[in-house]
Amino acid sequence: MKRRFTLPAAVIMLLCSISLFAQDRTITGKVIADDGSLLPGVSITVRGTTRGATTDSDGNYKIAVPAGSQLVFSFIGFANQEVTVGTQNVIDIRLMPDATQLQEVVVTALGISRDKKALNYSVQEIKGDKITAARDPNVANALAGKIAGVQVLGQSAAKFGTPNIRIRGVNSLTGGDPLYVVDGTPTDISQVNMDDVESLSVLKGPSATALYGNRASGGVVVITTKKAKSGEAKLDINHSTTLDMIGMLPKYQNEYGGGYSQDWETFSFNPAIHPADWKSFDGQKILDYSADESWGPKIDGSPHRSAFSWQQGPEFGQLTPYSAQPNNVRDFFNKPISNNTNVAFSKGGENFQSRVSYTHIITNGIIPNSKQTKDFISAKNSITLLKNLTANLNINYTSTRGTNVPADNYGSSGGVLGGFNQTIGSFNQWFQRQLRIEDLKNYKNPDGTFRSWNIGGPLDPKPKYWDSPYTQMYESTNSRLDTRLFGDFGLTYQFSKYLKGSVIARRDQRQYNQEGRVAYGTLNAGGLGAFANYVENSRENNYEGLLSFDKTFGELSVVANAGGNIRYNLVETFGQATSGGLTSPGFYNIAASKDRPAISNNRFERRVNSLYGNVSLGYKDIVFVEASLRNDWSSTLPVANNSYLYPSLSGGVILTELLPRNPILSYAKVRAGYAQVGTDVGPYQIFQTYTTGNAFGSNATQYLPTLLPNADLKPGLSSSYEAGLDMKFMNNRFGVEFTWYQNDNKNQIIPLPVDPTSGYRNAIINAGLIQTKGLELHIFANPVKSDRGFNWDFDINLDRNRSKVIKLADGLTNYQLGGPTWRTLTVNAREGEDWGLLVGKKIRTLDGKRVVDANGFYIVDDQKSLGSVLPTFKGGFLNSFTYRNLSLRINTDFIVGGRFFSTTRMFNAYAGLAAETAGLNELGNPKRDPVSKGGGVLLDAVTEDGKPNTTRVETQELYEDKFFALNDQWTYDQTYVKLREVALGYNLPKSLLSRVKVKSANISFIVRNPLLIYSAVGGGLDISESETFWTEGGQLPPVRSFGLNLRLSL
Amino acid sequence: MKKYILNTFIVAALLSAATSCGDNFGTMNISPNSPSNPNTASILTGALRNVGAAVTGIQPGLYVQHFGDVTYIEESRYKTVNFDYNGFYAGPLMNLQFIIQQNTDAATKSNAAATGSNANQIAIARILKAYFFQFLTDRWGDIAYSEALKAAGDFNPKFDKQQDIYTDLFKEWKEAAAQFEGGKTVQGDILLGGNIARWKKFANSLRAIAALRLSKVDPAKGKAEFAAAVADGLLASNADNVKYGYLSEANNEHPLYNNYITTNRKDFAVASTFVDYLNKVNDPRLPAIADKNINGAYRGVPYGVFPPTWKAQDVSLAAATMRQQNSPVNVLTYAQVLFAQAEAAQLGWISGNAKTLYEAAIKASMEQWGVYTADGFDKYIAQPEVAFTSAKAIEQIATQRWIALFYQNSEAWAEWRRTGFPVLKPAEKPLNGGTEIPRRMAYPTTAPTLNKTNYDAVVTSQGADNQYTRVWWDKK
Repeated sequence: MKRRFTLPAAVIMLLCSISLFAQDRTITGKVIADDGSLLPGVSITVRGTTRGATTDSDGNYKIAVPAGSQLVFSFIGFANQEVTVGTQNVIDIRLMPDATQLQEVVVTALGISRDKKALNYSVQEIKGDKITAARDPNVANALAGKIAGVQVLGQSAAKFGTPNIRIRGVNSLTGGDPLYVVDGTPTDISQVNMDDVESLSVLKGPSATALYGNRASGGVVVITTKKAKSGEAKLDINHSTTLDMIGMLPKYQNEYGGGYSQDWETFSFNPAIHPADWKSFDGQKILDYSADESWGPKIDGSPHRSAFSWQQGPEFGQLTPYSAQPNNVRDFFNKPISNNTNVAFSKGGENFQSRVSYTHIITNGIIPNSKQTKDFISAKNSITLLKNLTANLNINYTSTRGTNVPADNYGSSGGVLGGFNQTIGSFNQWFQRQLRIEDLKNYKNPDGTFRSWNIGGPLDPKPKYWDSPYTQMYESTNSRLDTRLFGDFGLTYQFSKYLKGSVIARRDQRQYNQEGRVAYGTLNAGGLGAFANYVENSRENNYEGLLSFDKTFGELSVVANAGGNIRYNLVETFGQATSGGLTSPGFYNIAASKDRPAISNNRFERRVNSLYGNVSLGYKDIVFVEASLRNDWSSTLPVANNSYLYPSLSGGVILTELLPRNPILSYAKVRAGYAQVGTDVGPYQIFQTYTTGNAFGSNATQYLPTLLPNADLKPGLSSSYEAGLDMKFMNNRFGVEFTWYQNDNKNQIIPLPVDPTSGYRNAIINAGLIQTKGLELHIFANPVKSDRGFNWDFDINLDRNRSKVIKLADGLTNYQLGGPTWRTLTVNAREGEDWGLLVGKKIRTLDGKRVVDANGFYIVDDQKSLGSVLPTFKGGFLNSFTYRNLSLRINTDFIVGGRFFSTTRMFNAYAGLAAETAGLNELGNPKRDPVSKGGGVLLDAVTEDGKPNTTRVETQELYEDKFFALNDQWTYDQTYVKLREVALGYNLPKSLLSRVKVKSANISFIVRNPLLIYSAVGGGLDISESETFWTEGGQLPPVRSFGLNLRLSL
Repeated sequence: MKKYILNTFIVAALLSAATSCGDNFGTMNISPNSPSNPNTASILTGALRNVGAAVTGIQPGLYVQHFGDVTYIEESRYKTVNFDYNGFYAGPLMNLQFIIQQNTDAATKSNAAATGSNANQIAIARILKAYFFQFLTDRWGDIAYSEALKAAGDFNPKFDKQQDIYTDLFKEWKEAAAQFEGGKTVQGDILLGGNIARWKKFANSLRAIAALRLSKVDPAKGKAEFAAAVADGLLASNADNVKYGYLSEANNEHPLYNNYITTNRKDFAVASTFVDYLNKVNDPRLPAIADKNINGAYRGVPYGVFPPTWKAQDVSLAAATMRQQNSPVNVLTYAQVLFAQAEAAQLGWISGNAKTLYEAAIKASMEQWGVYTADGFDKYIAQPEVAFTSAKAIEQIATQRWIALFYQNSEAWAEWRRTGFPVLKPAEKPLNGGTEIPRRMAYPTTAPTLNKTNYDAVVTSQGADNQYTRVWWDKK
């Protein structure tokens, strides 16, 4: 069901509704919207009188009127309709939407709803139905492309994780996460139940976030959850079932199998070391099983001894054909069914509103035996007593259980706790192309030892660098359980029509448990098994008081707020891990640690006290001025500097109010603002302490930390300037919102990497000045709107963001943001240069052509610029088509420019897995043949004297020796265009539903991640899911989901 | 009435928020997770744990062809050019500097004395600091020294000339050895158990060996420093050997045990160059140094040959006896001291007999590897290749030292660079852009990115930041 009114408006109208007068005639009827949905709360007035009525929750009304009078039906967002009462007793009305009348109420800081035109800064709000169309359970994914200035740092859904977003630029390596506020309670992005989201506002700059103070420097995502409306009683059911599958994989070669050399080895029987019955194996073709690369013999189908033919079981001693397995990696991944179900009950009366909601999401991973179950339970209650005292209680419980969440990134990286990357780190980086996935499935021998494709040799069948991927997923398991309870209890007292006060206590409490196992006899932990667990308890309390004043004096409207907040955070962690193996295989407990286990506990505490206030003045709906002031006191700053005050000031003029009404320009507003935000630092970064390390026998160890604390730290202060122009045309059918901003981050507190020869790796400092500038453009349009019910809406979001280090610190000019990785690659912010400069090994060029040396290999220079990681621009293109009961949403997002380094591409080639490492060269000969026989690769380059390169090089040498860690070779543009979501929906007709007592029903076909339309990196990578902004670290492939969604309202 | 109560409540809440704003939050920002007071004994232990890492870092062992790569034939072909010394600065060096400071400052010295007399702690810290600095300058050449470790006092330390660093190292070892007193034994000393006599011998022996480094670049100073060190007393038997002992537990296990057993990687085996030479001279140390391969033969891994045509089972790994989980590694041995004296005698720096010292050194080395027999030794030194010949003395001493220094990787590389013996053939197709065996490690990436001005200056004064610019003492 689609509703286009806002709650405050409805409440106001309810208050205004007037009881019936006894009269001569009673008219009844039903009011529906253009799409057939019921409209409760529609105001019905009798022209020229004070009489009126409102529709109930089923859209029905009853009113007594004199004959011949005129009824006016009005409702926010719809055009008024007038009907003259004739002789009929029943008048049914269908209201049509009215774009011109649409008042945009958006939720701003502290949850205060404001008319958007009164705001002098950029706020972009999206309604729940726009972000849940494809039922992506992650807010961040659902936001991709939908808000100008928001960048998603994604990750593969195969990991079930929560992607992060960056607002107005990825200009901080460590922090930069926005603050997520759900109904006023700060919490974590993973705690947002998409089915509870009524609307989501993104407050981007300091003007918008001024009242949130020091933690809002990364912007704020204000989420308002659904609540019951007065007069409604309803049950909503929303269920989706999806079929998930792997989205894409790199292009592999299928011509060469495992090994380092194309020459076949043969088994050579040696009676001194081999069992006598192996004599018959003499002369059989064998591979280098210890090799986890695919530079081996050409795949020719000839009988050979696979690694498994040297391991226990029926395959022992068998010769099998050496054949291509083009789908071996793809076959590893499952195509599971996942379910997402929400049930919500809501009922509201005049003095109470209550909504309870339960969501159960089972996501079965595309990686075998991985799974996540998530439950959300929420209750939102409001009771008003004595007309003016309201008590609110919001409670949200979330439980997230992850089972065998797979690790990714480079090689077999990972750990006992979170598991090792034995899947994609192998398939895309270290693998043999001829392996059959069925052989890997049989991962365990009858005697309990483990099998692998990668063994030492015929006499040494222990896993060498890799277990079977199934071993990791079924034996070396991990689990995590994250339970969280957050919400608030508050009282609001309406002192008068204009003044209200509230006191609210909020808490967000979390318990996180994680444990990981390494099975005895598997690759890691020396084959001796391991166990680790980790517990984190944390809570945040916020106690706040707020006085709000809202009154219009003639032509002057005044909105003012004053309040205070006490925030307290506590994090306690407990970690334990066995050391040196398990004393009792299969007994996963710290007590089983062979050596002294590693145990640690930590406690972090901080408090921030704040006082704040703001005043907004509006004159005749033409001029708006707003000012705010906030002071914070942070426990984490040095006592002398722990108090900091910061103001904001903004103004705007609605130009159209000064112009004659015209059919072209319906609305225009210019706005400008200035704001400051102060920031503090994490706990314990002021005073020198000493780190305790692993003991050496009975000798304890202690170390100086490598991060230099700073007892003179000042609060950071970011000054922001923002200006914008909002325009709507042709009766609001087209519009643009344009914003320019500049942030001057002064004294930003950063753990600046310093030359470690100073004795420290990082120093906490107040950086001089880091400047961020950006442009944001939001275009929305309703280009087609036909009387026959066809409607097309689209939104285009575009933004560009640039950061620059103006001044760092005395004597220091380079802020090394990350690295070095792959030997020499770093990402830097250098004084006077763009933030995010990749620096590393670069291929020399001559007039734009790459240069090779006399041997035909690229000439490489170190410490050269490889470009900035910041995109030239990025954005999204969102389309919504409706035709009568049908609707279609198509969401795309894109990034243009910005460089990144791909680990997957590098190792895919290094290990001879990539298609580019095989096939024919331009002479028509196999690339992998020796150069002396016409093989090899001719690099497209010139020699130092500018002549075309004619020197062919050996393929294996090129990729293994020369291209490894040649940062330039594997650095690409991020540019991509992605079709992210498609949802085709059908609203079942009322006529069908009324008989079964169903208010509305919608069935949709949904697709997530259907198509990467264009990607500059190619190679089967989806850079839109990159976890970091400068490297693709060897990630799990994207997940594509197809499914059906059913939405019922009873 | 109700309204009044509520009003009061709200006002009180706001007021309490306001009034609590000005407080100093008590001790909330004092970390409960790490101690605020240092324990210099524990800091010494922490710093000493790096001695093992300094000795066993495999790279120079690949350069001198003690070891070769088994599977990834990269580091034996000099793949890595830039090496990272940062862990030593923002690690043991800074921690040792801190021990010195804690035992010096009036405010902290009495507390620090709880774990050993101030003078003794300072002396040990100075000896070790100089040890690590020599280790660094031998590898990288000019390094941050006089302006290093000053924390916020200098985030851009300049690179000092190796010559100046060496001058200061001699002074440091000399002064430190003289600084020991009869006060409380230093605790946390996992290297020499706080034994002052052994520390003095260690410091003097370090001086002697450092003095010999100057044999080509500044023989006059080398001679003087060498003689002074000998006079102060060097290691006098294998019992004096300075060894870093690993433990039978996962956090402190022998690096080769970790590579061969714990991770089952078997990345490095004894190089063919080394095995072939030991076979050639029928060296009784071979079984103590190398294991047999799967076929029961000593076969060194072909050095620097790519692509590999062997597997770990086909080649000789380092001997199981020397790489138990808790096997010790040699930091400085009696054999080294004797080889140094043999060379010094041959150079005329000291009066001893080069032949006698050379043979004593070989004997000490065999004893150290546990393979000495009088008969075997006599036969060994009688071989023409080994028998002392004055004309070839420097080469013979260097070659025997090369054997004796097995798995003392950094020292073996330094001595090879200084003497040029034994003559080694570089890897085929080096990956570092050169054709010869590296003579230096290039600076870590942090030097140009975080300390550019000083980096540029040192490149100008020392030469290109590659593996072929020779360090000061490495004179042709």
